[in-house]
Formats: sequence, C-alpha cells, structure tokens
Amino acid sequence: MVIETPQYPFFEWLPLSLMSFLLVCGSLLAVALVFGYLVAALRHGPIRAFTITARAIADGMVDLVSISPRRVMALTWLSIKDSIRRRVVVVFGVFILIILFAGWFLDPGSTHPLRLYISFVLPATSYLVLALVLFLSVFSIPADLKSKTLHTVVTKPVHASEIVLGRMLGYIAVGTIILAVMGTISYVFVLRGLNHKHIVTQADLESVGTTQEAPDGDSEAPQSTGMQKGISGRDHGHRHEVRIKADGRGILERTHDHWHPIVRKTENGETTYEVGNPEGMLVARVPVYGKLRFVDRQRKAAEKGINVGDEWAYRSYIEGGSLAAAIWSFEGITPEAFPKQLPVEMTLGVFRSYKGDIEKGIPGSLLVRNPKTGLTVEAKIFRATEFETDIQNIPKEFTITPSNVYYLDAIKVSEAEKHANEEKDAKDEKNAQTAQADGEQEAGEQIASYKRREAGDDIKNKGKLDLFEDLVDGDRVEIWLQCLAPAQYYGAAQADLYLHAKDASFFLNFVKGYFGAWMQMVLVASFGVMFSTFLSGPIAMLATVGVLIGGFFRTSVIEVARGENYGGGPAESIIRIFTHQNVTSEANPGLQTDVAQMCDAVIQHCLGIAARLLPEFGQFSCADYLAYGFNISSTWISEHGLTVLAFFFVLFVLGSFILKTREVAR
Amino acid sequence: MSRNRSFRRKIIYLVLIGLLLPALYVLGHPEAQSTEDAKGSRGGWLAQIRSEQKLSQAQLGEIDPTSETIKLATFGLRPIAANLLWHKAIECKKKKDWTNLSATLNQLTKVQPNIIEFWRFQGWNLAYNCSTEFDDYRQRYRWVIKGIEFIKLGQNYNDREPRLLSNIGWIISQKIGRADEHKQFRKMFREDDDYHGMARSKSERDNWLVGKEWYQKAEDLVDTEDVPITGDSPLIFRSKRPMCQMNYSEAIEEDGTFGEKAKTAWETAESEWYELGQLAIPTTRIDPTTKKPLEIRLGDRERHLEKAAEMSKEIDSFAPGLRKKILDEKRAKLTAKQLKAMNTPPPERSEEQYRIAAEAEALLVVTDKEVAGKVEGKNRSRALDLAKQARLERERAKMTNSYRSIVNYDHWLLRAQVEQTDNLLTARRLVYEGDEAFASGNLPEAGEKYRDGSVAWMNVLAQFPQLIPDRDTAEQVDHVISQYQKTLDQRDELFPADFALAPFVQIQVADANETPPARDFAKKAQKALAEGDLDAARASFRDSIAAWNKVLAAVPSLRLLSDRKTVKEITDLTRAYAAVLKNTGQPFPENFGLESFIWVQVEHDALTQAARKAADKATAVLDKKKPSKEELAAADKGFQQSLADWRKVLDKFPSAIADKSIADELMMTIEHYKQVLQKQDKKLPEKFILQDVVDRYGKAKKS
Repeated sequence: MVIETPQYPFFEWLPLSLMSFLLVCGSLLAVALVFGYLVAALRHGPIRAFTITARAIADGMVDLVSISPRRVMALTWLSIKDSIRRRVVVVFGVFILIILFAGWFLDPGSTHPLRLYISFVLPATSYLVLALVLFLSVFSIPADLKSKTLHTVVTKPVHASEIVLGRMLGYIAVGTIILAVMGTISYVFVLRGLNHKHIVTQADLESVGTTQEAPDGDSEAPQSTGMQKGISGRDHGHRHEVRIKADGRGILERTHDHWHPIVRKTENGETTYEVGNPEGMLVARVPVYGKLRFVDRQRKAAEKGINVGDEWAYRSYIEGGSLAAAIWSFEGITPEAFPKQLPVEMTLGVFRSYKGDIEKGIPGSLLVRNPKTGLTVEAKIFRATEFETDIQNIPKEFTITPSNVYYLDAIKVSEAEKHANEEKDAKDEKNAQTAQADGEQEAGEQIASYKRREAGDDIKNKGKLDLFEDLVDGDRVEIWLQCLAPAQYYGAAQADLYLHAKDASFFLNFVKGYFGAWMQMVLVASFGVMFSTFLSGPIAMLATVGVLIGGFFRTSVIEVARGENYGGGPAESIIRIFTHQNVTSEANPGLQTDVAQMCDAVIQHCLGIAARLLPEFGQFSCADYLAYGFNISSTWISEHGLTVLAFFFVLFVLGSFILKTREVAR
Repeated sequence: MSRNRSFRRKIIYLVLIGLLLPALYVLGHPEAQSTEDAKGSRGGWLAQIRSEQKLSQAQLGEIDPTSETIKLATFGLRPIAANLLWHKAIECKKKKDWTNLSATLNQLTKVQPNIIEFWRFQGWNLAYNCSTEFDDYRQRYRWVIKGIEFIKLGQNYNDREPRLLSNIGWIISQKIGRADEHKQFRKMFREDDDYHGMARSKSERDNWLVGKEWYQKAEDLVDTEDVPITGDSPLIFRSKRPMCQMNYSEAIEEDGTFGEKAKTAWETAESEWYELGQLAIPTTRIDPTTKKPLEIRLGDRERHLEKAAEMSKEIDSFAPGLRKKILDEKRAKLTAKQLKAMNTPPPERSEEQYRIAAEAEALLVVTDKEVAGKVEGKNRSRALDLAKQARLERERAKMTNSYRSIVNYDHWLLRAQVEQTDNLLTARRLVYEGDEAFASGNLPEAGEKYRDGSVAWMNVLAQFPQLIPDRDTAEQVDHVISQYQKTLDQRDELFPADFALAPFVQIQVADANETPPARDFAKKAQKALAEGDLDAARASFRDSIAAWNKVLAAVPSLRLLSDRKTVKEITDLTRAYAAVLKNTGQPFPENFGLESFIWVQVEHDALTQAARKAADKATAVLDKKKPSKEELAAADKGFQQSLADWRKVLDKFPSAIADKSIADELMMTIEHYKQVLQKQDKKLPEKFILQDVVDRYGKAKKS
C-alpha cells in the first residue's frame, strides 16, 4: 500500500501538534479580542469598550463552564427530532439505490476485488452522510431564527453554548446512526459481492506425482498417487490453479488476492469436488514498518536510490548486480512478537533496462544484519513480483555456508570529514545535511558507508546462526534488499517492505474504516453549525462547502500559497488563461504583470493562513488501509481522533461566542 | 402583494406555458415507429435532424440504461464529470493504481459512451501503456486483453464505427504478434478459453487470423452499411487484412509450421493482395469529367502501361522511322560535355557527370505528342488523340504506382508468390530445423541443415533474382550465413569450398562501404609497384589492408572463408604486401590487421596439418632416454619434412611469419630439431630452410 505521508508515533506527534494547536488558538483569540475591542470602541468609546470586552470574555467563560448536560441533552434530542421531521430517511433510499446499481460499475474480474469494493462503498457512504449532515447543520439555526423558534428557546434559561453544543451533538448523533446503518449494509454488500465458489469437475483435473509400482511388485501398471492439478471453472472473472493432495484436500491457488479450500469426495464411485468460500481476502494485517535508507553501488550511504524516470517519484530504485541496497531498520523485533519466523511482505517496483529473460522475474536477495555487530546473513533469494504482495518468510535459524555469512562493518564519518562538509558551498552543505539526517545513527554517530569483512572461524564453526541471538540487537534488526541482476533495478518506498506481525479482525477494521468517515462527518457538522450561528442558511452552506473543498484540496491550496505551482498565483494565472500564455514561461514583463503579482502576494498570504486553519479532510479517510487489507492502527485513530476533537472544541467555542453576541440571543 | 395580483400572474404563466407547448411539440416530439394499428411519425424537427444525421442513440449503438441514467443525473454537468474522471484516470496511471484506473474507466464509459476517441485512446492506453508497466508477461497479457475488451465494449455502444473494429484488429494482431513477448503472448492467446469461448477452435485462435476477422468486420461495415472510412485512408484501411494474412503465414513458419499449411497460408495471402489490387480505391485527385474522386486499381498499372505502349506503337505506324529521326535530331543537339558524360560507363562517372548524363537523357526522351505532332495527313488527328490518351494512361500508371508504394504492394505480392514456392518452403524449414538444432547444441545437425538451407536459398535467389536487392530477403539470407558461421566456428571448421551462398557473400562484400576504397588502394599499389615506387606501393597496400579489415568486420563470414574468390583476393594482397616489404628490407609488421584472417587459413591448410604431424612424430624421440641412431635419423628426416612443409606454408602465407602463435610453434619445432641434431653431434645447416624465422625470433628468444 502506498503511504505518501509518513505517520509519526503518537508521543512524537502529540507535543508538536499540541504546540501548534495552542499557537493557532492563541492567535485566533488575540485576533478576536482585538477585533471585538475595536468594534466596541467604535460604538461605545475606548474605555467602555474595554469593560464590554472584559465582560464578554467573563460571560463567555461562565457560559462555557456552566453548561448543563441535561439541557444539552434536551437540545440534542430536539435536533434529532428536527432531523427526523426533515425526512433524513430519504438518504437511505438514495443509498440503497446506489448499492443496487453498484454492480454496474464494479468489475467482478478485478485483480484486487476488495480494493474495488471498499473504494466504492466507503466514499459513497461518506459523501452521502457528509451531504446530509451539511444540509441539516447549516439550515438549523437560521431556520430557527426565521421561524422565531430560537426566540422562544432563548427566553428559557439556556446558554448560547448549550444551543450550539446541542445542535452539534444532535446532528453528529443523526450522522452516526445513519453511518452505522449504512456501514452495516455496506459490510453485507461487500461480503456478498466478494463471496463466490468455483466449480471444479473431474474433467478439469489431471493426476500428477510419481507413479508407484503396484504392491505385488510384478505388475508394471502405474498407480495414481491421488494428487491432482488443473484449472478451476471461471467465476467472478477469474480461474484458479487447483492442487489437490493425496488425502483429497487441496487448495485453489492464490489469485485475485484470495484462495479457496477444496475437498475431493467419492460417493458411490462418483467423485465430486467441494470448493469452499474465498479466504485470505478479508484480512487486516498488522504491519511493523521499518525506517528506510539506501546505500549506493559502492555501499556508501545515500539519501535516495536512483530515479529511473518515473513521473511519480514515490519509489527510489537500486541498481542490480552492484552493492546498492535498500535498508529497512526495524524495532520491536522480539521472539514473543515473531515466535515462528520473520514474515517479510514486499511490494516492489521492477525496472528493466534491458529485456532479459522475459519468462523469469528479476532475482533479488534479502540480507538480515545485526545493526550493532554488523553480522549479516543472506537470508533469501527470490524473484520479484511487481504489484503483488510477495511473502518471504525469514527463518529463525540459518545454516552457515562458506559464503552466506559475513560482516558489513559501518564506516563512520570522521570529525575531519564532517568539518570538510561544512566548508562546502551552500548547496552541497544542504545535501550533506539531508543525507546525514537520513543516514543511520549508530551509537550517536553517522555512517558514511559499509565495508564487507569475512566472518571469522568463531562464527563459521558455529554451523548455524540464530536470528534472535546473533542478528537481532535487543529488539533492532536490519533487512537489506539487493537486486541481483546486473543493470536491472528494484524500486522501493518505506511502506513497500514490512514485517507481518499478525492479523487483526477484519470486521473491527471495517468499523475503524467507518470511524474515518465519522470523523469527517463530525467536522462538517461542527463547521455547519458554527457558520449557521452568524450566516444565513445558503451562505453557511456555501461556507461549509468551501471549507470542505478547501480541506480536500488543502495540499494544492498550500502549494498555490507558497507559489510552488506553475503559472504564478491566482491573478497571474487568470491573465495567462485569457492571453493564452504558457504556464512554464516567464510572464510578459510590464505593469499588468507587476500588478497581478502584487495582488497575488496578498492573495497567497491570505490563502496560506486560511489553508493552515482548515482540516485536511482527505487525511481522515482510511479507506486505503481497509482496501489493501491493513489494520488501522490505534495510533492513527488516536491522532486523528484528537485532531477532530480539537476542531470540534474550537468550532464549538467560536460558535457559542458568535451566537452569544447576536442580538437575538440576548 | 394582493392575492389578485398573485393569481393574475399565475394565470399569465399558465397561458405562456400553454403557448410554448405547441412550439415545443413541433420542435421536439419524438419519432414513433409504425405499428399494425397506428401509423408512425417522423417526429419533430429535432428528431428529424437527429435521424438524418444518424445521431440518435438507437442509431449509434446499444442503449445502456445505466449510461442514460447517469447522463441525466449529472444535470448537464457531464463534461465536468468526464473531465474530473479523466484527471483521476491519469492520476491513477501515474501512481500505478491499476484497480482504481479500471474502476474510473468503467465510470467514464457510462459518462461518454459515444466519444470514439475516448474508447480508442483508453483501449490503446490499457493494451500498450498499462500492460508494459508489469514485469510479469502473464499480467502484461491480461492488460492487453483488457484493452481489447474495452474497445469491444465501445463497439457495442457505437456499432457503426469501423475505426473501433479496426483498432480491435490492430491490437489483437500487432500488439500480440509484435510485442517483445510475442511468443508467449501468441501461445497464451491460443490457450485463452475465456477470451475465445468454446466456439473458436484452437487452430483458429492465431492472433493474426483473429485480428484479420476484425478488419474484415470493419470492411463489411463500410461495404454493407455505407459507413464512411474515417481516420485511415481507404487504401491503408483495406491493406490491413491482407497484411494480417502475410503476418500469419510468417508467424506460423516462425513457430515451425511448414508444408501444406504454410503453402496454403501464403496462397491465401497472394489471393488477398490480388483482391486488393482489383478494388477501386478513391484517390485525392478529382476526375475532371465526373467531378468525383478519381478511382484507381492497384492491379491495373501493367494494363495502363500496355495500353499506352499499344497507342505509341499505333502512332509510330502512322510515320515509321519518325521517332528515331526525332531522337537523332535531339542527340545531335547535345553538347560535347553531355555526350562525354553519357558515353562514360556509369561506375566511372564523376558526380557532375551523373548529373549531366541525367539531364541529357531527359532531353533525349521522345514523347508521343512530339511524334504525333509531326505526323502528316489524314492520321494526324488520330495520332494526336492517341498521344493524349497514351499520356493519360501513363499518368494513371504513375499514380497507381505511387499508391502501390504507399502499401508496398509490389513487394508484398512478390513475397506472397515467392514464399509459396517449394524451394523457399524447403529453405525455411531447413533453416528452422538448423536453428532448433543449434539451440539444443546439436552442432553437426545444425551445420548440415544450414548447408542444405543455403543451397535451397540459393535456388530461391536464382529463381527470383529480383529478391536479391530486397532488404528483408538480405536479412534472412544473412541469418542463414551467420548462423552457419557460428556453427562452423564452434566446430572449428570452414565454410565448404562450394558454399552455395558464396555469390550472395560477394554481393555483401560489394555492398560494404569499405570495399571500393580497399580495391582502389590495391589498384594504386599495383600501379606504384609497376612504376617502381615501392614506398608508395607499401603505403597503398597498408591502406588497402586496413580497408579490407573493415570489410571483414562488416562481412564476418569471410573470416571462415565463405567466399573463396574474395578470400583469394585479400590473401593475394597480403602476399604482394609481404613482397614489397621484403624488397624494401622491412620485416612484416605483427599487428597488420588481417592476422586472424590469415591465421584461420594457415590453421586449416593441409600443409600445416602435414608439418605438424611430421614434427609431432619426430619429437617423440626426445622423450626416449637413449634413442637409437636409426630412430634419431628418422626423427631428423621427420623434422626436415616438417620444416620443409612449414617453409611452403610461409611462402604461401608470408604474413604468417608475423603471427606470434605460429612463430612460437615454429621456434619450438626448430628447438626440438636442434636437440635431435645435437644428439647426432650435428648442427643446424648453414642454409637453414627457416633461417628467416630464426633471424627474426632467435634473438628475442635468447634475450
């Protein structure tokens, strides 16, 4: 699975995010206070404005701390009833319609059917719920104002914060219920859609295996071993290779991300084959990711591998038949976590610079290295399969041969070399720093390269090496990937090789996948209610949709704000569009361009601030984890959950203050 | 606002709607089919235009309810949806997310089912671009099939589109049949039950034949449904089917199928090219009489030329001898320079003479018009009319010829005719069997097959000499020679003296860039020698040898003596060079360029074999502790015989003295001879037969 944005461990992420959160909140508060004071000063004079501002803060604080759960619950229930009155159930009808017609879009012959189904149901559900919650939340308070219902409510002893919180929680509750029902329907849809059985008949199979002599020893008539192989019938756009063992049990070999069990049954002289349901498809693998770095063809530490000309530079390539390698450093490798073996799973890129043997994959090897002692063993030789998960189990014990065990000693950068690096020009220095940052830190020192040293007799005489005793340092181990075919290349990114620790429950993973959609829904509801406290319904909707779109395209907006895109800022781009100018060439010099660029500077600054305040909606979707069969980690859930909570809190406070300052609420 | 005003406004709206309805009906009411009970109608104005332009969904192809629903559901935002989906598809491809690429294309098919370029582009994208992203050829094949199926789906939505049918034919034939993995692809295609279903037998599952079926469908659509050909010119469009048959015939031979099946395949190919030659092909020129595109038939060129020749003959019959008279008059007007250029044989002409001769030849052309213009009497008008018609016939023939060259008609037709001959079928079978034997390491059989294959190929070239300049033929003959050479090389053998393809090797030598300078330098050297200028002769010989060395690189089979005539020419040259060096008192240089070429000849010379045999026998005496006098005398005689043979070898190949490996062997033999002499209390004779060798290498050995 492609992971373009690396995920930080929770306790590394928390302080950074908390600091950023407090900074933004403080800035917002400061801006709000200054703005409030200025408005009050214009209306009531500077001294009175001070008193008014102070009172507003004090009242707001009191309002916030004196929230009554009972009143909030009552208002939440009111919102739920309000939603039911607005026929939210219609959305179910739309959803059922979509599910009914989904079969027309989903290719049953897809090589990765789970990915296809998940990437359909999850976004479909998510978008529907987001649209529903958007409509409910943005029109609620404006409708109350229009129908004067809010005037009746504010005559009661209810705080503005309770109204806002009640609305938010109400719509979140409605969204949650809808999401839960849709999730259940989707789960059944996915299970039913993926479930299939192939037909296997006697005619599809042929007997294999060494034929044995008849027991009497005289007859030369061969006897069947009972082993069979063949091709299954076609279902869901694919067939499987069938292998049945002598005892009548076998499997339909793995293809399209699954396999089936098969049992041969003979009754009354008639042989039938019973094929089981697909297995290995609905999984939630728990991966242990390592930190990736590279060494070049001379085994020198390198920031990256080679770029083979791919437009998408996600994978970095290593040259075959050389000393170049991609190195993953793993932590947490203990006998308890991996009692039987070290299951390495890889999805490598392959780049051929010449055709070679078309019928065979490009060979490669996996080395296991002790990061402390440098003791290295050639653990596996394999042929790469592209765009498929290749499973290589590294055993716990290795038999030593004259050439498979040696040391890869780390050569550390000397102080003198470091000093020499500092003397280089700015560009080189920057590169060196980046390389250092990405290079291995071993005992606090950076590694420049590796040198091979033959293992001594003490090692060779052992006969066997133990993975945990000899190659794991504490809980750390390194796995080196090398390509063995000269002038051919392997491509790898950090998430392309991991250790498959265990399998979690697919159902729970499915629920977690919907939790991602739920978080998006919470954000939309919160933004919708917040905007509706001071904007009319349609305008609040536009604002929320704007936040939604901005949030989904946050990265692009930030690129525009930073001026990293082609064609200049918004104003310059408009000129280019109308004058048919190439985006890559310099804009025509002149007053027009100067003015446009000045406007862009202001727009980009504002865009930058706005984009940084927006939640990155796309990040809350974890459909890929689910679709690719990876467990959604608790770290992911906690980090994103906390982010949503932070947004919710800020939007609630903001909404409460705004509603409180409106005339109607007084 | 009072209730009355509101009510009045509603009434106005209703009236307006009522007024608009008839107009809308006239414009847009749909077409209705006639039934038994009711007469149909042509529909409103819009329906009629749509029907005339064949734009209604029913006329375009299959109606897909999903697609129609989605088109309606997008509320006019279909182009935006299509744009977003295209963007997503491009992004998916960039990020190699094949599952979502398929899903996105699936969605796009519903959004723009009648955009032909969409189907063509994405079908090609799947079959050609996406497939190559996979390392495993089996997955590549799957994506090629995906691409084919994709365009097939498009064909269902657009069943009046020959371009899509043609595209399917192209991918099935060219992608499967020409990819790097074509051997594997063709095999998988034959065994792909899922693609073919059970209706098509395995023998019919050749990709070229299946591709041809799709081209045939495209042609049928054009011929029977009156659908215009778009995208391709009519000639290219029609030539794809016979080309598929040609490729099929070639491919089955590549797979090892010969005999009747291959013969029939080539016969079919010939008949299909012939059929193409009979088809009326519209040209870009407008016929002045009909004001329609002028039509030609590729097979009619000869007929046009014959007709023109007959007309010229008839014109000549009106005034016998007139044409020659005009020609003589024209010749008389040529300048001396022009005459000289024309009289110089073409190989000896300078560049300027070539140009002048070409101009002069153009001036000497006597046209029918010129002849007819001078015909007197009652036949004059007939002659002028004939001259005009003959010109038109020749123009038509010229145009036909240029259209033939677009599809290489002459070449393919000739090829189809030649390939079905027994000689070529035998040649191909023998070469195939030779390749198989070579690949399995059975070199004796491979050599035999290549030798017989060479004979068969030579028979083909003798039967069809027009094939000799053909590049494809040259490549195939070269394959036989180079494979035969590899086989002989590994067995340490030479080409037989009567090697059948030696004349072809001579052509290869003649075509090599360095041959003319090599021969020019040799001529210069001989001239200088005749003039007694030894230094100039030596320099020219050296240049000639350097040029011949490059020729040997271009025609490597010569190193194993594939053409004895050329070999003799080069060897004689080295002898002459050696003689000049000897006369100027210079030793033959070690690395003069052709040492390995000469070494091969020395190694395989009978005298060398005899010299070695005699020396080996004589050397055996040295292993004995106390050889008898008789034995020593016999050894002495043996050595003398050996050295005499070596002398003859060195006289035959004087440059061999510079060859280090030969020199080492000779010095070793001389050393052994000395030992035998010593044991007989003798010394080397004063006039030693190989004194030149001793002089050249003796000191070096001592030092």
